[in-house]
Amino acid sequence: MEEQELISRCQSGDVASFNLLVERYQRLVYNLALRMLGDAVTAEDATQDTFISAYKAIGRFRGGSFKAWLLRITANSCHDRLRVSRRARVTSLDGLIEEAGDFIRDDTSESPEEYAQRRELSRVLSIGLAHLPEEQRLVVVLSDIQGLSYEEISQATGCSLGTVKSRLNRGRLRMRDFLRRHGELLPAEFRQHK
Amino acid sequence: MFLFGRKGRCRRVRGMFSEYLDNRLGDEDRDIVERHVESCGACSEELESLRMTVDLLHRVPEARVPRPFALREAEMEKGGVLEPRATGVLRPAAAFAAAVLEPQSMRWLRPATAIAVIALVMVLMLDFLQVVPQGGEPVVMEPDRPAWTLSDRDGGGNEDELKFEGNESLYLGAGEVPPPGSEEKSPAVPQPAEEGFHALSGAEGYDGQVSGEADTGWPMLQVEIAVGVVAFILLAVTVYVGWLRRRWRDA
Repeated sequence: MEEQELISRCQSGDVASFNLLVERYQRLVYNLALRMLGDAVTAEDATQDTFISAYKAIGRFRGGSFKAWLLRITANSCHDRLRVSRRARVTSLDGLIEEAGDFIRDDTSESPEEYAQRRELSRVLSIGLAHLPEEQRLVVVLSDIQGLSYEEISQATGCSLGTVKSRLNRGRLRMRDFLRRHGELLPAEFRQHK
Repeated sequence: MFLFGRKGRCRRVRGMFSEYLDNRLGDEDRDIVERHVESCGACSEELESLRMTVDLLHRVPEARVPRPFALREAEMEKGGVLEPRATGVLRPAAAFAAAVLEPQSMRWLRPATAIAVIALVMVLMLDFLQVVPQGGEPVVMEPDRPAWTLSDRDGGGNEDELKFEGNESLYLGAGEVPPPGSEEKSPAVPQPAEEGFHALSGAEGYDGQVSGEADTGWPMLQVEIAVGVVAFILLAVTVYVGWLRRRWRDA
């Protein structure tokens, strides 16, 4: 069923149609929340809140990209949680995020060692992301991890294209600096950073 | 481009690296970046390190969702979860439930409860330590010399008598019981025990003047009751809201 038709049905109170949209976007929303918050349990709560808020507000959705609209609600939900828990910054690497979560394998041929290395890479990058200011982290995650275009990011964040480009550039540079300083944390295969 | 010095050129080109890596530059800017990088070792290294960072970020695996996030049809259609759809007298209750279930709502509740409880403890302490003058008690002008004392008539301790020793102006029953030294020479015990009790307690002859003096202190009891009621209500609401949210989360 077309997304627009599902949205129209949701707007007339059809929860089943909304759940089809949830099924379609839950992975995207959960992964954004996980990268923003760095904690699987909090990300789970933020994801659930996002869908409840979206259901409540879908009557006010006036077209455009539903994906960007949903990601904007997710970003707001994460922002609220970060503000409350003051976890926007990881102050010490001793408190490394032991990222819970079951990661999807690229393909079935991926060996257990390769999979473990990617998990470790993910953990280190999560720490690096936690060092970024929240607005830069959001843009870096949307662009480099979730693969959104600049235009989609602009819609999801409500910022101009220029702001998106600037935040992305600064966020990547900070990540690069973090990896330079803490290259030893990376799995051996990925330690080419000087 | 050539208006900038070497440092300025490097800075300008580095500002375009991110878009260059994302293939978002126009042909002209792309040429500028490529030509500069060929001739500038530092910028070439900078671009390479940024490219590797972006590559690593692209390799971050996607997490599997821990559970389905589908909304429960029955609850959402009933409107019992978040939308206050009840009518009539139940509407305020539904609106309250909807308000408290919002994760960010009623953030003031816990601090307000804590402040009320602290205020109650402070009021009780002030009362206990008698730091402030309290209403309902006579003002003692000479605290080391009480107006009335209970003394033993025969030294055996069987019957107590009231004996006036204090300041005349503090004599509570001035209208009813004449103080010693007045024209009618009273015996040491001017009234029977019952009358003396009434005079002492103020049940008789408690005139307005004395009453006015007594009320100049703080009405501590009323303050304690008021603060206690507020603290109790806030505490009860906090517990109830916490219970509602837990139940809703577990549902």
